[in-house]
Amino acid sequence: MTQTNPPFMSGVPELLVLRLLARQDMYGYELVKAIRIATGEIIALGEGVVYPVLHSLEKTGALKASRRPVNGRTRVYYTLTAKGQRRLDALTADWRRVRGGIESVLSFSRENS
Amino acid sequence: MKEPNYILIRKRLLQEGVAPKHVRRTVAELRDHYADLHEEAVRQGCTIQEAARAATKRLGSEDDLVAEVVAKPELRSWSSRWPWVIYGLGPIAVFVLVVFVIILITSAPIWLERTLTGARYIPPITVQMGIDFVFLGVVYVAPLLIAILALRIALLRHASLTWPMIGSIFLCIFAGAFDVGVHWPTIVDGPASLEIGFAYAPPFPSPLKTGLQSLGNVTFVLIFFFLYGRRIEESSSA
Repeated sequence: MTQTNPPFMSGVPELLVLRLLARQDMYGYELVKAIRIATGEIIALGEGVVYPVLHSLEKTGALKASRRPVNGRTRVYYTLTAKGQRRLDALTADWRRVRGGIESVLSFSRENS
Repeated sequence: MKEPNYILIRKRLLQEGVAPKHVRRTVAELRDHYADLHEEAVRQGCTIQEAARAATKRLGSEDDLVAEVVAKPELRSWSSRWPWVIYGLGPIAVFVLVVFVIILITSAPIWLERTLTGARYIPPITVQMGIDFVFLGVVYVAPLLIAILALRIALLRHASLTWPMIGSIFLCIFAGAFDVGVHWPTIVDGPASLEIGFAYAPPFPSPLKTGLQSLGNVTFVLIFFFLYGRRIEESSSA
């Protein structure tokens, strides 16, 4: 069962946003949809709350924003910068370390239970 | 379920100290996102009302939307992070800068004339009268305009008025005791002079005039605030 923005998700939205924008530029609605699809609906960000994440990343230089026409309207597209790529690499390494540590605890618990 | 109240979201974000440019972007992108969600629901076969309900539900409540933005301190404005600097000291800093720029503008011709051309041009009395008039404006009008502008900015941003009031009143009192003037030479090879006076320093010349001028400045700004303050704040919410 999915839960939008549970407490332990701190830092995860940033990782997902940067990873998906590394593949292609997207605007907010596209990005939220892509997160749902890419995670198999396991992670569903509250649609509107993606924007503070995007603005925060843009302020730190990890993303660049530009307005582009989409089906007769304009939307704000976000592009990953070189600084954003470095941030993504760091977050990915942290996440893999955390995941490895948790998996160790889980396998230790299973062996000793 | 109605579309989110963007005016309320905007007002709450400004009150929480989020920088206006982030508030504008957030509200604009939320509107666009809602439109996309609505269109998606209609494409999936929903009625207009059903699509509106679905879009609003998926976008998130006004409380959630505001809370997520406010949770990012890096999106706050400088004036909300350091109100005592921006609103408390800012007005007087702007006034000092204005005085400095006017002194430069009115002194530069004398310097250029003497240094670069070596000419000994004595301007007509009307030029000195014009310069005196400019400095009258600097001493009597500029502080009031700067104080009113600081209050207006705070009102439009729905900011707390404590520091804007303190800064504006401080500027009004300071400017009431301040005097400045540039005097061009009136005879060939005569001196030019820059006069700067502050009546709250010894020997405290004209304490009554100074006090009345400071009081007059403060009264003017407070009258403006009480007459127009609410109107400015409400116009920002429209």
